[in-house]
Amino acid sequence: MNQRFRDPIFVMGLVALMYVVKAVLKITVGQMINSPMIAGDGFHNIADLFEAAAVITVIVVARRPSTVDYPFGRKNIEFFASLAIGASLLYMSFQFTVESLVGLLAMKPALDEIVRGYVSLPAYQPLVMSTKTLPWVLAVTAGSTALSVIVSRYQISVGRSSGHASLVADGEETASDGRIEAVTFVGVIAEYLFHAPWLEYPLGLVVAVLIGRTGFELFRSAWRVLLQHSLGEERESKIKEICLATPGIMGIFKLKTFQVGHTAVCLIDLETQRGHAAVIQIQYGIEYHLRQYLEEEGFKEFEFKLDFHLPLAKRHRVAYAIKKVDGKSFISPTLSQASHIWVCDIERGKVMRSTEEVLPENPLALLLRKHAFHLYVFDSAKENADSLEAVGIELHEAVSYLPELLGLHLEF
Amino acid sequence: MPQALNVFYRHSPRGENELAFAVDFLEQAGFDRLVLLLQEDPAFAQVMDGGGSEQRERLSRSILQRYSQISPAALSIKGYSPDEAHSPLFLEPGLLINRRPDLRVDYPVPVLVPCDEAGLCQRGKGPMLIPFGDGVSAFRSARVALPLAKTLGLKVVFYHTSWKNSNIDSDDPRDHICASARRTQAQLESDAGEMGVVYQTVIETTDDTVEGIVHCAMRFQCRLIALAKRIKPGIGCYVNLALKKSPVPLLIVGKTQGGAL
Repeated sequence: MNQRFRDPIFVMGLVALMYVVKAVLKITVGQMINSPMIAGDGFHNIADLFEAAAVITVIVVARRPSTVDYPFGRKNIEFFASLAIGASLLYMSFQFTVESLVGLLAMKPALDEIVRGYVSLPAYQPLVMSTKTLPWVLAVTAGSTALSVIVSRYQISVGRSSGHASLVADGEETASDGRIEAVTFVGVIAEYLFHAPWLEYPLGLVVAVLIGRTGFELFRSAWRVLLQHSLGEERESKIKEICLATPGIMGIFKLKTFQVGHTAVCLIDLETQRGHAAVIQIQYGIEYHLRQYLEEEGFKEFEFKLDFHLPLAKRHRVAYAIKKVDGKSFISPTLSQASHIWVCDIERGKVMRSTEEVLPENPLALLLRKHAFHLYVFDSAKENADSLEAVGIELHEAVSYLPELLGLHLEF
Repeated sequence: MPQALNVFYRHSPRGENELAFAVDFLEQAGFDRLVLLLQEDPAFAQVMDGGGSEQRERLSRSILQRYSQISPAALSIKGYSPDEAHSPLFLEPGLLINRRPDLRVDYPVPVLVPCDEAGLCQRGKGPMLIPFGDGVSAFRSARVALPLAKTLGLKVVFYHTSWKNSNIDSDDPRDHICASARRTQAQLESDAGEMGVVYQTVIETTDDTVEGIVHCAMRFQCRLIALAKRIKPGIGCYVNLALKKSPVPLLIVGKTQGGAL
């Protein structure tokens, strides 16, 4: 399709033209057949014309590129428009509900009088129509409905593909207008064919609910974007799944998501123990799959901030009883057989620092002074565990007698 | 011929990673047994009667307790002396699982580098990546990797990155692939087809070969990259760079290996 037909400004221009045509026809026909309902709808379309102008302004502002002062651009302005349109649809739904109830009450004058005794309701305005004017009324209502349906779909389609929330919201409003017009059309037909204009009113209540629901959805989604609500539990859980499916990722420390305009923003703190060279590749993989997923979810742009952290250090200190033979060091079977004690600082399971102490007369005092509350020997069965436990030192059996197999060889 | 998974025993995060990966891989890839290579020093006899033979029993007991999926018959512990540590000819036929292999050493079996992963498909199943160039090295890696892919039920992605030929006016990377690489591709695809391994081929023009390989592996969520050490002498090698850059486990085939596992 020609690019111009997919341009949001062009689309809104067409929408404005549609409102002009509708307003002129409805006001003319409304006055001709003395129908305040049709004429009033025509005046409502003049108000829609101003709304269309407002949406065009919003789109122009939202299109401006991001700057230092507006790093995410000005796309959120679209959601102010969505919020306003959502609120206006909610009001429209309320108004239409009242009008339909008034129409139904008018069928039962006694009940109408009782209700009006408690609640202030607008006056019932019956449709004034003759056989002569019927074709005009049918042409205006049916034509208007068809126009609204076609234009709303066009607006929503272009709005979604171009990422303009205000265009989508305006399209939803046009669709709601179309539903109301369709109900009016049904009322006219029912009056003419069955002399049962009341049929319009229960149908009107159904349409009011649909409009209310659309208004609420628009209002809620705009509210969430403006207040930087998260992308939602389901999306966040999929984002976590993508991260954890990526090689090199051990866990997720923190995840924050929100939306600015049609930009999905993800701030993720990840756990890995890989070095910088591998982290760059991990980042590439995560961003690639996140982008694919969020694109499927309808986002147009993405902002990822991935921070990589080492696993928690879990620092603690341990001691090894060492026996030296011919210059070689071995893990001593027992503390009493040891010639030295190695005091090691452990971080993430690795020995990060160690010192060698010649076995003193009172090794337990040394261990306590060094805060080494875990002692490793090679043959724990021969060690007096009770005396160690009495002073708060836990005895462990080393799996190997070779310090290098325990990760100790480089430290001495 | 029995196939063993060789693992050097180390009581450290690195050793734990190798062991966990090996146990997981043993089950999936249908290897006969896990051979734990344990350094021993006869000098310890001067410290303790029996010379530390308890070390083997203790280790065997500890591993069988921690990994209930291994049967006692599938675990063997093989001792070696400190002098043998740098020429590991004592490895049994099969594979060596090693997180930091020394590329100067010619290991007699292919080396599987876990790259910190706890298992080959613990993050879900994904294909195996076999990069190829214009030489024969990919045939060596494919000879090991394709049977493995078949056993593991993994698909294969053949990957090639070519320099852009400035004389060819095309953005399609396939138009820039040279004749010898094209022949290699055809042979690899034919081998995979004959073995019944599902494959696809990705051709790109990237300026960094190793980054291209790793990026492709990340995009396709590959679980293993099979690379062969080059035969010609030179400075630097793709395998070494891949060891630094890849978060995806690597299967490294040596200069003289290439027999099917």
